[in-house]
Amino acid sequence: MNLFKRVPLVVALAAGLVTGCEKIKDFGDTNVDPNRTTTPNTAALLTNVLAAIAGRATQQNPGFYCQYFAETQYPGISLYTIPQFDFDGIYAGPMYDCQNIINTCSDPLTSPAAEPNGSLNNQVAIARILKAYHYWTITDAWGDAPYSQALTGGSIQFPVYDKQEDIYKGILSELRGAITQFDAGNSIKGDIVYNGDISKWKKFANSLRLLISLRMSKRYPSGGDFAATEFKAALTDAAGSIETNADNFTVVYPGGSFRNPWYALYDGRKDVGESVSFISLLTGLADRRQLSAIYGSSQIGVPYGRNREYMNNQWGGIFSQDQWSRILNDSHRAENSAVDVIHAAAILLARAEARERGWTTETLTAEELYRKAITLSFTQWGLSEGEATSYYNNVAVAYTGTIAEKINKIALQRYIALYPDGLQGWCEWRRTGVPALTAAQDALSSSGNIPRRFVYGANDYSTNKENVQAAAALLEGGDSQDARVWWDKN
Amino acid sequence: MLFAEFVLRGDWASVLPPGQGLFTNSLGTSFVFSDLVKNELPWLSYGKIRASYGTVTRLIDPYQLSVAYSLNTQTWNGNGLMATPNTFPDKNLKGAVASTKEIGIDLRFLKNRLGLSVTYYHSVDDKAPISAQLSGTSGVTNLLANVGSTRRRGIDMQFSIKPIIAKDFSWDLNATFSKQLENTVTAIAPGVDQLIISGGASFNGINPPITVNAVGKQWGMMYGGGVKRINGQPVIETDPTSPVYGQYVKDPDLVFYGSVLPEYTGGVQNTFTLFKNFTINVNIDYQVGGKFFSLSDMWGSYSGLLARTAVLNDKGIPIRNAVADGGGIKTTGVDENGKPASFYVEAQSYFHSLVENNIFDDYIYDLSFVKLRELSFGYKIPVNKLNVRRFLQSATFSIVARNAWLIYSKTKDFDPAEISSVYGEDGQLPGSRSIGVNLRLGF
Repeated sequence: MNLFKRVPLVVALAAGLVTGCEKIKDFGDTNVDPNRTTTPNTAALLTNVLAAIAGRATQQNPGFYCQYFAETQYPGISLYTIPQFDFDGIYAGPMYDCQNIINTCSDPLTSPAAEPNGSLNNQVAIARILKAYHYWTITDAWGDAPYSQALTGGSIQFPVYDKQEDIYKGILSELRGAITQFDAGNSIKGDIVYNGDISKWKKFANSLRLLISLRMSKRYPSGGDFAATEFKAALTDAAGSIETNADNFTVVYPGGSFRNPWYALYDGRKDVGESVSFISLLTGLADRRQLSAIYGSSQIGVPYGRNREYMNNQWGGIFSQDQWSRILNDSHRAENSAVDVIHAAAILLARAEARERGWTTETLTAEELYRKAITLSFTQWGLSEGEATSYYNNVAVAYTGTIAEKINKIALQRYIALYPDGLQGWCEWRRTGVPALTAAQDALSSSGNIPRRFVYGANDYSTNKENVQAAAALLEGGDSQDARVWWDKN
Repeated sequence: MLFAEFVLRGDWASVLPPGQGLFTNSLGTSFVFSDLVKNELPWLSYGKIRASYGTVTRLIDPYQLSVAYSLNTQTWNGNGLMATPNTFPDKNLKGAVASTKEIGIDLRFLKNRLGLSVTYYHSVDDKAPISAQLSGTSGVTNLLANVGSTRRRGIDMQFSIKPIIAKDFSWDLNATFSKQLENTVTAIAPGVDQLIISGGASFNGINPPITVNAVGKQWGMMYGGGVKRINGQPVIETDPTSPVYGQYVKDPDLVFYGSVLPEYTGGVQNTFTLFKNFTINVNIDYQVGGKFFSLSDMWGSYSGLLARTAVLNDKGIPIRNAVADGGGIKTTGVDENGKPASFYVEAQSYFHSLVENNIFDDYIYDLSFVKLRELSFGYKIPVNKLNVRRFLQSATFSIVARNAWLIYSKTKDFDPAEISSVYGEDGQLPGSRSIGVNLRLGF
């Protein structure tokens, strides 16, 4: 081809290149995913958190430690093998969803998108309350944990572990702040628990304050100390606390894709049941919550703390007859059954104990609060007030004895009323020592003692090693399941 | 005789941050020296030395530049659910460029009857966009960021030979061999010297082995719970009051099991042609070295499904019999002081204790295997003779078997060539063998 014919070709190419270049670089919205949005829907985030929250109140593992439950075929946790449970999934899941609600509502760039879902203050207040609840359940199990440097969305890569004392003080302050933050604006959408009823959220927050303060009783025992002061403030708060079962924090499962966790536990598996020790405690008290087959599906308990050899050989026959007691009876374990996460009986028992300790001087006496609590628990589970009254007549239940004996009776009734929330049962046993539990006979751990905390999980050892090790160094005996969390003073 | 090629390239991709262009280049040179020595070395039909240097882009996957939310497909009584993603992009995320240098030689002898190719490569990946793990307590578990640098060096060899060329039968053999000399992680992120890249899901306190990248070490190292050893001998618990009396003691630290990368890989492809129209292909793949963890093996041993839980012990008595009757598994090792010790342990306790204490030595295998990857018989239909020349140029019919036969592997329970995760097999479905027919028509 001679030169003259080549020139127009080269010029055409060059022209195309120059004019086309800018066009090439502008991709418009090719890299914007048509199926997703960059601003979250805060109501949907809230529903997501509430959909999973009952998981914190239906844990099996602490239920094994406090002997509500026992393992049938594969005893392991009941024998105190040292499992390593991680909490980072809770932080990265529901807790960051709460934080995201707070961030989205607080940032003027994104808050307009959140406004249709309710008043911004109300949304943030609820997210703060839920975040506090999650922190409480984490620190009660593991002890020190990331708090002040957590949930930054990756800005702080290695969050330090805060002391449990600071976490407790922090969440109490958060709950106080949240209650005052609520305003009279639009009620919130996506609330599958209280349906946007702000007064119930305030009662829930105060109830948490009561329970959290009482848990510090070993550290701040007397009436003028920090715990008692917090307790009184929450009790006398104008918004009130949960006093009837109608105000319970209850998650009602729709079934289908979202099923009751106890249902899911038995869906194809038979690994867990109600323990023999718990059933015999209740039978000894003639407790109708057990005898009427509510707490369990039968009166045949699963032996606690025995090894696999015993469970498969000596007990294997009873296991295969399938009449042993499952956790809760069938009607409370349907796909669409409800889970009471925080209920009135526990709050009234807390008030009874605070009254007996002299922390509060409310009009109702400790005995009245105690009786009311038992009645509330009975009616919560579908029994009648009459049955609660005859239960109360049992000498072991009646509110008599020295101050210490009465406090122990409160603790015993609380242990029974908290079932089947394994975490709360284990926390209260650690705090009060009631009931007296015998450690597993075939325990596999070197100390053989009932664990007093979860050891830190493997994930944080790989991703946040220095901080976990620093926290472990503060524990007696290092990161062991026999070390005690701060409020669990010896 | 002397060739050189130079390429300059610019990439502007929608997946990159706006305005970022990635420029890559490459330079390849080759010198066909056989042209010079054609007369002196008649047996050398072709000889070339080549050297090249090139860079390639490392792009980001689509839609990764911002945090985006999707709605759960299910609703809770009409309420939608949305979850915050667990991977966030770093705000300075951008594409990267990796470079490779290569030098090699191609030789062919005896009129292309024999051929040999050797290549040495050295490639460097610098600040590639990867998903780095964070502590989930920060609210996210992974950050997509420009961290991650690796250096790889290796040798690839190819060997071809036509052992038989006859009128009605010919055999073509092609063999490849690759050895990676080095695959080192040179950097991760500031302040991070280790990254977990793969691992099994933890279940009820049982934490399967993990694969990590550690700075300065080889890519993909497997760590997991294991037996404590003194001078290579497993330590046995000799305290009669201990719940694991007579069984192996767990090492308090994670044990290093080796790299998940194989040492050599390669294959052998054979093509046999009979009577001009029939072709038989026999392709073999092989791999030596590397480690993987088998979750199926672990649970199979725990639950007594595998054959190893029902063998005879050294006394000739089934291990499932009680120790009191002479049964049980024999554990051999040393005690805490290094003195030889040996016990008989109830079989079920033994297998359960291994899993519950996260002792995984028995469930980690080599990735070595030799496999007949493909076997096919083909027939070239003589279209000329069938008088269909007008619309059909060629037709070949073949029967193909894929994944035909695992000729050798160190573990009999799982096929190492079918592992789906980097760290191993996690209860995945077994691989499958397929047999099919193929008809290829040319128009």
